[in-house]
Amino acid sequence: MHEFLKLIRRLKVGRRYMTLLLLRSPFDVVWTYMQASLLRSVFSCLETGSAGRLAAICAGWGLLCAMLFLYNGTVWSVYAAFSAKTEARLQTDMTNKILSLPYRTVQGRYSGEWLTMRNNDIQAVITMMNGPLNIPHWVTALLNTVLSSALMLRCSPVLFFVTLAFILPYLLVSHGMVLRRLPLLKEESRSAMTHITTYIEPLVTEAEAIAVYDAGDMMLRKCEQESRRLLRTNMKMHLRRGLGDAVSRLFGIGGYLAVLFTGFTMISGGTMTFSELVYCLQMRGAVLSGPLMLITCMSNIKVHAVCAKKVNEALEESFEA
Amino acid sequence: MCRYAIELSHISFSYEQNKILEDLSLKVRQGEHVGILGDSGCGKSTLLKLLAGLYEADGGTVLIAGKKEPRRIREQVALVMQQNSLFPLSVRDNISCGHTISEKQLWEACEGASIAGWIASLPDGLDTCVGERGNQVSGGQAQRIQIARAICKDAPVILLDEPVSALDQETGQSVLRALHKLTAGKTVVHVTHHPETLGDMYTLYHMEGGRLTRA
Amino acid sequence: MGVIKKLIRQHKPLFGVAVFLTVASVFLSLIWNRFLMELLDRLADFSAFSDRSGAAGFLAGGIGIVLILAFAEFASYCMAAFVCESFAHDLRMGYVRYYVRSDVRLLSGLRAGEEQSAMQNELSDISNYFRENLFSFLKQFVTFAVTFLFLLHRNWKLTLLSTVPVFPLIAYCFFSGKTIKGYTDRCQGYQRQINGLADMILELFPVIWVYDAFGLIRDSMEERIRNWRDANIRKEKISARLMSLSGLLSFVPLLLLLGFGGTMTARGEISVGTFYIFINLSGNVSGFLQNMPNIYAGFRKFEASVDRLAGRLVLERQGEDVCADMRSS
Repeated sequence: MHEFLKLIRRLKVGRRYMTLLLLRSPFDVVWTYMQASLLRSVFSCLETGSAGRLAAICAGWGLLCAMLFLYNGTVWSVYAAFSAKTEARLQTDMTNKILSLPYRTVQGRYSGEWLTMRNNDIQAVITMMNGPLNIPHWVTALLNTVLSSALMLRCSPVLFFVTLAFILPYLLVSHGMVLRRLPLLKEESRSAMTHITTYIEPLVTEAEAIAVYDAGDMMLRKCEQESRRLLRTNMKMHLRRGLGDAVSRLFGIGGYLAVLFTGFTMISGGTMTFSELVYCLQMRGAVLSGPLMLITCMSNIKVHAVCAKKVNEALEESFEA
Repeated sequence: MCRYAIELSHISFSYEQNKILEDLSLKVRQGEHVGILGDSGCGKSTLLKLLAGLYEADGGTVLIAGKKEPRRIREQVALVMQQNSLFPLSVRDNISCGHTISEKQLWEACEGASIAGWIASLPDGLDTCVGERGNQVSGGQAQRIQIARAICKDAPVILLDEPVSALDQETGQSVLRALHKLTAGKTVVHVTHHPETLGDMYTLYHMEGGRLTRA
Repeated sequence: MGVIKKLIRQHKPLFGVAVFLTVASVFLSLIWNRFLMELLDRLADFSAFSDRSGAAGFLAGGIGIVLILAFAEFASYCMAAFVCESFAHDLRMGYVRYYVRSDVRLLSGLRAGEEQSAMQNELSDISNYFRENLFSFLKQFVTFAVTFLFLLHRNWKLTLLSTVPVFPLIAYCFFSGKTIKGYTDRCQGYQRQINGLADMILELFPVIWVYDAFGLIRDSMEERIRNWRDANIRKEKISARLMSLSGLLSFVPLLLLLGFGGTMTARGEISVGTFYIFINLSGNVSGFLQNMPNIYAGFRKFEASVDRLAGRLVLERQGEDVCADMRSS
């Protein structure tokens, strides 16, 4: 994140970026609240036997929903245009930087590295800025988590704490076993990919030598080693992600079950209605998905921050002449 | 006015711990043509890059037309390379390299490189795009465009890096003729595997183990 | 598509196990929802759990399903990832083999930078598609089919009511996908121009220095980036608007489901549990249908990338040349 902010500051678009980010952020929480309230209203109608009001309720919420999406579409389009402009700025700055470097510095790096920088790293920075499950969703998820928690706490503190009892262990497991490890593995994967890409160059430029000295098998073996290293590194990442998914299922559905049983105990005790339970279950979805999204976003941001660091380093590469 | 167009004294150059050039000295008079022969990897291309101001020596001094600073050195040289080194832009841009050059000068350079006729026959003339990686032009035409570019620069020192080795014999000969026009009266350093491409007037050096010896 | 078939054939047992695990995890998910429906109905009828052992048994059953579901999720994810990584490895090696086996004359006409870019861009695109979409689409499709049949079985009227409005939405998604694709293609065209020039900068760096062509290259690059930027901004703006509208329209089936399903529940035609499960699961059906144009467009793009690269892939196993290369041409 620090590297990304550094890059944003370098491009002098920090303030505009923050403003757009804040304008985008309330969508999820408002959307969650609208859906939960709609469900509560529908089930409340069923409880009170006033099914005739259902049509009016659905139409009213539909109208509100249209207004929300209009707002979102407008802000999103401005935000997306801003990201496209920033990407173009980065491409220009990177080209200018490469052009301003001494020949020896440019030669000093593998050509695969420069190409990775242009094709991969800048793209990763923009994904971080505008892509799904990155910074915009991180801010949205943060707001969604805090406000949904507050709304659920107001509706039923008991159900909120039951929900929390399942979320916290999940977050701990997920952070310890998945989130912390991914950036390192991603860096390893990136380095393996760069190695394979760099091997392509001699296959083309030294084709004559390879043919004359029958070095094809040797090159194949080298590439195979690197490719397998990439496969192994990627699999380590997948195992962690798979574990994250499984733990998410375990605590997610387990928590649902617990809320359901607790909720019905409360309904039978007369301290809650079914429509309120439905509202809480909807809110619980946001309370649960918010931190999950936060974790995924943080993991993606950390992964992409490696690329942001590379871009920063390249833009800072000093002229050694 | 300095006596030597090129003065290298006690040059050393390493690349990632490998010594490429060691205590190399060379003096080339103005208008002299020098041919450098040697096996692959002996440091010929590195020497050429030092002469072109692309590399800086680790030790010793490089003086090209009396200039020491790499930026100034680059102003004094023109370079014709072995491989297709065209930009994916128009013929005009490839020759002028974005500098302000009159139409007359451009055509003169094309004449000198023997491509004026071919360019005139193109529908867009000088504004014809050579395509991505110069794929719209043949190898010989690409070399001639490089030569026209070098003529346009009108630098006192011409550096040639195997300019005809990638061409067939017939095209190679015609490109060599164009090169003779380019190099007339200039100081030339021509790096090659093929001594037969060098004329009689060349002073030949052999490069081995990072050092130059008179052949 | 020949390439994908060959890859599947080369990893037949692994692929089979991965498909089985994916389908199994979908069925387990459905079993969980079936259990949930039963549970809601029983809990709604408070007398059903009058004895503690009945409730405990139900709870134990639930915990058992959750545990199995979590394990199945892990196993199917890892297996699918391993198959996709194996495919990606084969593709990389196929690409390398192409160069090693190609004629020197052919290779002399290639540019190393361009080939490296192709390796990074096209091959990575294909590998990423495998990783992110291959089994995910399979899972979505199986989930859609199984859920749709399950819902039809529970109440066909409500199922159709919540599904039919999705069809105009599919048409809209198809239209918007096509519009966005037009803009994306234009952007990619400009992007290719930028890539070509960028590759050239690295290759011709000495020439740029000697002839002081920085200004020329900078101007040319800036012009290309400007063209790309303008096209990209147009694309991003249109995408944002169209997708926002699509989000709004996708809310319509849920509104209809709530309105009509609520009325049916009030009339006693369906139970609260069934109504709740319809709300929970209808997204699986409508979501997949809505996403179909995107899935199809993504697949077509992927297919085009594979076809483009097919000529440069020599896929081989145990000495047998089962390549998709067209070197002879």
